[in-house]
Amino acid sequence: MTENIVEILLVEDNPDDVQLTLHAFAKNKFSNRIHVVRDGAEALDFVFSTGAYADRAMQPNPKVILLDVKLPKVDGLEVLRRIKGDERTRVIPVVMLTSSREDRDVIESYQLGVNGYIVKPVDFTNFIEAVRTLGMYWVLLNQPPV
Amino acid sequence: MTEKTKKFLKDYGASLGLFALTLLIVAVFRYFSPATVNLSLLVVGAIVVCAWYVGRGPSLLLAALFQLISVAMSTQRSFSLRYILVQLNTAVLLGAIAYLVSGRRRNESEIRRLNEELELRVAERTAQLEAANKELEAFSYSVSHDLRAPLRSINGFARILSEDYADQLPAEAQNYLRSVHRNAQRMGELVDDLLAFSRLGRQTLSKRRVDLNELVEDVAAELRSHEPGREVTIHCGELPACNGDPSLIRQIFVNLLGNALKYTRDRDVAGIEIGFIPSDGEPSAGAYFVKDNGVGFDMKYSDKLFGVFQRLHRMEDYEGTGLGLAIVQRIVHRHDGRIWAEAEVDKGAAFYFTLPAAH
Repeated sequence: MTENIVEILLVEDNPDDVQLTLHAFAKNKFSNRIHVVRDGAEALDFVFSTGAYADRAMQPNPKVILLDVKLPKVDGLEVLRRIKGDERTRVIPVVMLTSSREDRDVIESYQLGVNGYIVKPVDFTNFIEAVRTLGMYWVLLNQPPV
Repeated sequence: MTEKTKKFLKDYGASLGLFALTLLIVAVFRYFSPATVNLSLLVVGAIVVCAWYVGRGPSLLLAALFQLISVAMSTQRSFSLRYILVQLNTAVLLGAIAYLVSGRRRNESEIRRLNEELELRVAERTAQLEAANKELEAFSYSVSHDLRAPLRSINGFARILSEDYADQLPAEAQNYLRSVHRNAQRMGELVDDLLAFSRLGRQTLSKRRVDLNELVEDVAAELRSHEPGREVTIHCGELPACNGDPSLIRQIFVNLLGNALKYTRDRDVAGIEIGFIPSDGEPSAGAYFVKDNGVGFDMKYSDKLFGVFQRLHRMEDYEGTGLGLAIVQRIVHRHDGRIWAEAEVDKGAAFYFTLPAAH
């Protein structure tokens, strides 16, 4: 069932942003391995195989988690804190993909152990390019721990 | 018993206590050394202590008691005019001491009370300011995050339409889409500039020596690389080093040189001059300047020049957000400097500013 393996987990509450990000991935031929969750609680369920994702327990970790900072229910920094605070999930690369360029968000993310921080460019060409680089690096180039 | 009577009894009781204590000490002294030391210092001391720690009334009472006892214990029984005058003199002296010392004390406690009040008020204001600052921070945070997200969507979907559905759209529709795209882009720039501007007011400066000739050369080279085809002569004189935040000082020159390049766009040869006019005496009073031979502006609008979102040219002639000079002014002000401009329509503009000299 390798084709069902999620390589990129996208945590994003804004449906337009989801659509644009998926479009950007599609333009770069990454679309078939992306799973989208819409809030922090769902992201945690996915990562820790709880709730609706209880049957995911045997699946391998995604190669990268793209995490927004502002999220409903549990915010992005809290999701990051829990992922990096748990031995089972600490090794999953997490990249913040957000509109916020506030220094304190960047600093706190790195203090919590984030693997990358990308401010979504307003310009769509730049955005597509950012997504392409991101997918290229984390999905194709980077060697994650097995 | 009311507070007032309580205090009254306490104060006058203390006065009487001091009187008794002084008498006791005098008695002891008399007993052991009848030859007698001068005890008037003791009396004065008791009055001073009473005036300082208890108050005016009780200390005046104490002075009166001392005077009475001194008269009562006097061995002299003939009340000559001279005797009366001497006693009166002492009485006035003791009373004056009590009066002046307690007055001084009153002033002092009044000052202390005012100081405490002032400190309280300062603390209150500081708390209010801190709250306002927090609010402002939350505001710019929300501007940064919440305003940019919808812009990205507008921009993105417009782009998808014009790219992926180009063959299904008539030329006119494609033009409109380009307008949507351009405006979203512009709003993005406005948001970013506004954010940079508001951040400028709050961020702490890390000042050090900045060598301006090197910096200007660097900035000029970078700006010129954006428009390699243009003929531009940039002349830069000797610029003394300043003491400032390097990235902000750089921003001054990026904005001013950027403007100079922008407003000389239609000249065959754009001429830009950067220099320094020294002033007699204080080195920090000398002014740096950036001059160009561009379109300039009418000096009657010069008061609007540094305002936020103020523009003196039409958007279709010269692009921009109207924040560049506002940012420059804020940076100069944060370095305790001044900035002003001189210009003439179609003859060019010159911007002058002062910065603290390097140590």
